[in-house]
Amino acid sequence: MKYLVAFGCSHTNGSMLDGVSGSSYENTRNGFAGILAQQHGYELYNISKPGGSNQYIHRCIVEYITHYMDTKLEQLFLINWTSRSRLEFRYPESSAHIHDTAGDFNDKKSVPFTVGSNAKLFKDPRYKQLQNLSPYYINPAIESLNWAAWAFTIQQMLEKLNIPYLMTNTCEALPQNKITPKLNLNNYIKPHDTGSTMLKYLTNKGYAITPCYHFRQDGHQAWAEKLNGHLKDLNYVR
Amino acid sequence: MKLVSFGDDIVAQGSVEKLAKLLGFDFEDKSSFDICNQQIFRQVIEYTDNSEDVFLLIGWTHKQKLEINWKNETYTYKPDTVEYLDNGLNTLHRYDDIFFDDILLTQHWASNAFTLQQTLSNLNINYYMYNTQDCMYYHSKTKNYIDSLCKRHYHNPVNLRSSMKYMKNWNDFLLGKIQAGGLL
Repeated sequence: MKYLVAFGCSHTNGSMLDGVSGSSYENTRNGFAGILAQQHGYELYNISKPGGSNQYIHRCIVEYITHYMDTKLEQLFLINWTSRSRLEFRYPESSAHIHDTAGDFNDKKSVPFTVGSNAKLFKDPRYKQLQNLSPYYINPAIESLNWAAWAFTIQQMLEKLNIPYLMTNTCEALPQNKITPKLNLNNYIKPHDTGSTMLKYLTNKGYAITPCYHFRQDGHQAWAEKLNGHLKDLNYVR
Repeated sequence: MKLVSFGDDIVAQGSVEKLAKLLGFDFEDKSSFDICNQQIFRQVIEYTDNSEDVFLLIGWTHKQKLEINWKNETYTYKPDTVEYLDNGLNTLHRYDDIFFDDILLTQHWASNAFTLQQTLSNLNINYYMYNTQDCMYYHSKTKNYIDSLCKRHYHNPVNLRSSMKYMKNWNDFLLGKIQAGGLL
C-alpha cells in the first residue's frame, strides 16, 4: 500500500467542486489530489481545510509525520501553499465550539482565519470582531518570510526523511525575500510566478471559477494533469 | 569553531559568551531584546548558509509573544504588556485568550522546533536548543509533537524550572549537556 498525502487549503479540499459544498467527503476525494492518487494507485490522505493558512499547513505536515505516518509504507507528499493573509486559531478545549470540515486527521478545534472571509463561519462572535482588525495585524511582508521559512524547513525535513514531495502554490505567488533563495526549485513549481498558481493557471486556461474563487471538476482535472507532468519529471510517477 | 547564540533578552543578558570561552570557541551574539519564537526560527534559518565550523545555541523564548505589524510598525505583542508606541494595539487585549491558546502555541512552537531540528541535521549543522523562560504545554493534543523532538539536542522543553531563567550556573550546565550529549 502507498499513500499520496495532500496538504492545503480549500483548493486541496475540493471546495465547490460539486457546485454545492464548501467542504464534503466527496469533494476531498475527487479533487486534483484524488485524481492523481487514483491515476497512480495511491491511497489518499487529504489533510486540508477551507481557509487553512500556511502556518496550518506546516503544522499539519509535522502532525502527520509525528502522529500518523507509517514509515514502512511508501509516501508521496503534495504540498499546496496558500494565501499569506491567513492565521490559525483554535477554539478552547473547554468550549463547545468546533469548526467542522471534511478532511483526514481533522482537528475540529482548529479555526482557519482569513482576512476578509465570511464572518458567519465563526461560532464565537469575537472572531467576527477580530476580522475587522485583521488588516492591522496580519502583515503580508512578515507572512511571506514565514511562508518561505516553513517551505524551506519542510523541504529540508522531507529530504532528510527521504520522502518524495512536490510543492505548489494555489492562491498566490510567494514573493522573493531573503529566505527564498534557499528553496529547492526542482520540487516547488515556480513559487514566485503568479501564472503558475492554481488560481491563475486555470483561469488563464479559461476554466470557470465559482463566485468564491474555486474550480469545478474540469479545473481540478486540468490541474492534476499539470501536476502529473511535474511528478513525472521528478520520476515520482510513470 | 564559532558559537552562535540566538535568543531573547535573557540570553542577551546571560553572558553566554562565557560558554564560548569554556569551549574555546569564537562567539557571535545574535540574541535580541523583545523577540518572539517565530522570529528566532527565521533568524536561525537565515544563518544556515554559514554552516562551516559553527555551533548554534538556540534559546527559545516565551510562547506568549506574537510578532505583530500594527500600522506598519512591528511589535512583539504580549498579554501582560500595555506600553506600546501606538496605544491602539491595546485594542487586541480583549482577544488575548484567542491569540494565546497554550495548546495551539505549543503545537506551532514544537512544529517549528521539529522542522528546524530536521533542517539543521540535514545540513550537518551542530546545535543545541533550550528554553529561556517558558516551557511547552504538555497535553494530549501536544504530546506527540513534543515527544518527537530530539532531546539530545533540546534540554527538557516541558519543564519551566529547566529554563535558563530558573537555573544557576547556566554556562557550566550547558557545557555539561553539550559534552554529555556528545555534540562536539
